[in-house]
Amino acid sequence: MKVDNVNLLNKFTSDFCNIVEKYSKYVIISGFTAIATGRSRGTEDIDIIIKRLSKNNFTKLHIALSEKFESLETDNVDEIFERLDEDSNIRYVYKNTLLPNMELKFEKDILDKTVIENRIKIPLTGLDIWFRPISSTIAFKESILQSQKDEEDAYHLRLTFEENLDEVEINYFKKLIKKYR
Amino acid sequence: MVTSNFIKKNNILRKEFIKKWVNYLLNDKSQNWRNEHSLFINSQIINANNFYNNLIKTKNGYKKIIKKFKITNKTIIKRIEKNIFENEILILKERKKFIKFEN
Repeated sequence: MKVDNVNLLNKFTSDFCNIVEKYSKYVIISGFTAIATGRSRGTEDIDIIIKRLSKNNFTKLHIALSEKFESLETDNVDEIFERLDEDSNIRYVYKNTLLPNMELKFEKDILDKTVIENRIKIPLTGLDIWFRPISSTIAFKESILQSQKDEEDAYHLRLTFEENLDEVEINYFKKLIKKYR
Repeated sequence: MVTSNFIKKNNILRKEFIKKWVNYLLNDKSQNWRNEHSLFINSQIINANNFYNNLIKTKNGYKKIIKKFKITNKTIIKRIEKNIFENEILILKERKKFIKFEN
């Protein structure tokens, strides 16, 4: 049976990011990086950080997203903006669904800014999406998150990108994480 | 009883699987791994959605869903409640047809 290799998570993320890209720089973080590079596990949510927007510009983004997506928290764009501005997350889903969901937040510190400025595309994923650098993802998973799932994600990424990894860079991100989180 | 030895051995086996899988996807020239991966990912989401569609039909199922997903969007809550209400009307109509009850 032939299966379209654009799976549901990839399509959802691509649809969302294609809209966000028109209004703000963004970066996909967390487990989806491992899943998009072939890790054999699922997820209910995908995390995205975007550059902080003014209320006016965020309203334009929200209106554009509202054609296909809705927020699980509220329809009210003022309330959504307030939450984001206070460093909370907002979860978007395709309309009339619950899964998967995109957890969106504004950049909050120099760590987030660094990750956005150093975002990359990963050809292996087959996706035209911006991801957090692999070394940064590994650093987060090994130094902060540290659940079994996260350690295995980091191991998967280390094996997959073995030739291109720079331990100096990973350690640099670990130091940044220790400083700001 | 789960011993620490079991956990260690389990972790080793899990990492061995990851190593084999990564080796496969990096060396698979036909890129067939993408199909297998997509099937796996899609089946998880489809199964989860099917489950929630079934849960919503159970008593207080919709409340559990609202709680689990921490839904505070009133439009979505109303829609879920309306779907429950419409489903119950449909079920009642089917029952009435079955026992040939006429209003």
